[in-house]
Order: sequence, then C-alpha cells, then structure tokens
Amino acid sequence: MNIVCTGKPGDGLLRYSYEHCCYLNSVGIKCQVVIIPNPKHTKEDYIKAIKDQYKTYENIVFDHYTPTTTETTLIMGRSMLTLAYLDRKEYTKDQLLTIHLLFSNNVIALYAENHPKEYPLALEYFKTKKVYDLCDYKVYPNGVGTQYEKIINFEVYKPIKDDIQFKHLFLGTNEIYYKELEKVIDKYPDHGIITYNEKWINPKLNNLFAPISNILGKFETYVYTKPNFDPAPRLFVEFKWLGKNVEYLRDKNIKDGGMIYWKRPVPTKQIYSDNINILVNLIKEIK
Amino acid sequence: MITKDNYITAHFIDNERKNIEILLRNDTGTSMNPHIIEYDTKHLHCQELLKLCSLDELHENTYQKKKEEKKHFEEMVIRIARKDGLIFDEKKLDTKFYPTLVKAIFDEEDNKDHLFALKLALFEIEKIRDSKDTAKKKILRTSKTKIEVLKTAFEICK
Repeated sequence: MNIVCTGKPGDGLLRYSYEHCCYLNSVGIKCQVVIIPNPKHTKEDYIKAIKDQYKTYENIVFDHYTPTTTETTLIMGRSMLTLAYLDRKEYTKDQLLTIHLLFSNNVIALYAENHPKEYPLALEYFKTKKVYDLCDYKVYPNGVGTQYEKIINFEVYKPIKDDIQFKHLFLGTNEIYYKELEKVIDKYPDHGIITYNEKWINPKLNNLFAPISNILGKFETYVYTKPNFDPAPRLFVEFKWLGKNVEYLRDKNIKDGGMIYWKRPVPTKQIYSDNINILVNLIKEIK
Repeated sequence: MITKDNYITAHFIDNERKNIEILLRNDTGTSMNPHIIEYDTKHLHCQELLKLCSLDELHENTYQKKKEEKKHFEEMVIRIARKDGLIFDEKKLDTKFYPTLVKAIFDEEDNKDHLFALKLALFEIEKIRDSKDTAKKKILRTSKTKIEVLKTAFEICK
C-alpha cells in the first residue's frame, strides 16, 4: 500500500497521509508514504514537518519507488493526483516515472472538488486502472464513493510542550488566507502567523515560516479565519483536543468542513478506528 | 420550386453563412441535385426553404455537415499515412515498423524524453514490474541509455 503525497510540507494532507500510514502498519497492512516534493520545497522541509509533529519517522520514501502492479495507491484527496498532473513538467524524469507507476495501479481516492476539470484529465493521463472513491458526504453532499471521514490520529502525536510565546495563532499559508487575516490582525497585537516566505506577506506582521516546531504549544488561541472552502480543518480540532481556545472568525454560512468539523466531537481512539476500518475493509476487498 | 416532396436537406456553404446548398430530389425521385441559393429572406426560394427548414435547423445541419466532413478528412489522412508507413497500427504490427524501431533505439541514445517513454513502457509489462529482482529493476530505472535499459529489461525477462 502506497500513500502518495504531492502537496506541500505545511498541508494537512501530508499529515493525514502519514497518520493513516502509521495506523495501517499498526494493524498489519504494510504501508508507506511516497512523497514527491512540491517543486518549491525540499525533502528536508517534509522530514522536519513529520519529525516535529510525530513520535516516529518511518515508512516514508521520496521520489524513487517502483511499485508492483498488485500494490494499491491511496490518496487522501483527489488533488494529490491532479497536482501531480499539473506539475508534471516540473518533476524530474525519475519522479515522473514513480508517479506514473503509482497512479496506473488501483487508486483509493478521497473525494474532493478542487480541480473538477483537471481531475478526469489526470486520470486519463496516468491511465489509472480503477478508482475506489471514499467521500465525506457531510462536506461534499454531491460526492461519490463510500462514506469516510478524514480524522486526525492523535495517538501518533508527540507530546505537546507548553511553551506559550504568542497569544493568537493565525494561518496564512497562501495569499487568500493571508489577505483575510490581515483584515482583523490589528485587533490581535500578540499574534503569530504561520506562513511561507512569499512576496505577498506583510513583513511588518509577526510571520512564522512553516514548518514550525511544537506549533501547538506556542499559542493560547487559534483564530480560524479561512475564507474559502476548507474540507477537513486540522488546527482547530488540534486546539480543541488540547483544551485550548478557538475563535471561529469566518462566515458561519460557508458550507464546508469548517462547521461540520466544529460540531463533530474531538476524535477518540474508538471514533478513529471505527472510521478507518471502512478503509481497512476496502483494502482487504481490493486484495 | 422547393417543396416538402423534393426537399432533402440544406446547409450553409460559406463561413459568412450567406449561401445555402439545398439537396433536392428530381421529379422521378431517382437522383439528388444540389441547388445553391443566397440566404435572402426576401427571395422566393429562400422563403420556400425556410418554411421547410428553420434558420436554427440550417445552422445545426451546417454544424453536423462540417463535423462529418472533418471526420472523413481525418480518416482519409490516417489511411494515407498508414499506407505510406508514416504511422503504425498499434494492434497490427507489420514489417515496416522495424526500421523505425531500430532507429528509435540506436539514434539519440541518451535522449531523456525517449529514455523516459521507454522505461515507462517497459514497466507497464507485468513481468518486469512484478519481478522480484529489485536490483535489476533499479538498474533499469537508473540506466542512462536506451540500449542499457533494453539489455536490463531482457535480463529481467529471461
């Protein structure tokens, strides 16, 4: 079983991928995460992101892997396949070979609607054998596949060291998020913004470049401002899990994972295993 | 005179959509004759035609006609190219294919795009992809020339 990640090191999908990998190995399903780094990031960024957050760093390979035809590929969002297709000209030939071989096998894909036009083109390009869809219908009422939720596996988290350095945490990892938080940031003078060193950041603000060690321990409150579609938020779930404050500072009418996850209970071991067993059964069925 | 008895079909014949070709049956109904008129709603022939075929239908007929002509043209080009050995039928390889195969292997030996396409095609063969000989598979992946790639692939398949 190969979980492919073509996203950025700060993305939730990298984390969901690694957490799934840990759980599947723990129940005897041999699994690894195959990371094809985003052309703007290095392997080291991904290694740091995983090592900072989790107790273990194992079963991760970068760039080179030759799967057999009987191995299954899991992607934690359709965008993992579409991004690979869109970035194909920026990859090395070896990365491209790995991606082709992984995506031409059977693929289990979590439903998403990021690239509705490009996704079918990507499937055609990679000649994917068969796609098994999983979908969180609360988030995507018009999706396809078997009901499945993306849930955080807190069992594999490193203990969080309480080391408060800023009162309010903001997420500004892309230009849209950043512009949105700029509208309210003056009300939060003691803030830290997780972002990347990009041209659209405001150097006068307190920017913290991802990946950041012990991120959850450094803030008191998370201010959730994401203005656009957020399918499976992680940060506020993590803050809630730690018993910390979260301010829901966005339009409550946005129909996405924001309100859905807000209302869901903080995941327990039981909730986690009940949900992931859907995937485990599907993997066994495919074999 | 254009009537429902002799009218068969009609379509525009120019990009400006000013002229129409109408296909009409002869009196005995044994042959079909093209008849060209100007699209002029004041003209009697045009008025007769529009009673049998609306402007929308004329546009639709034109679109379908062009689509069909394009398809026939493409089929003809492929037929000629295949006959002249310029393209190959993937399902039916013939002797003309081999000089191209040899050229593909021995020319531009280290062309990166060719090398990639060759490796990908070889890894699509289950015998290679599912081989337990991981060392040889690694050599195949890292080979820098097409000859080296093929040599390793043959060794895996032995």
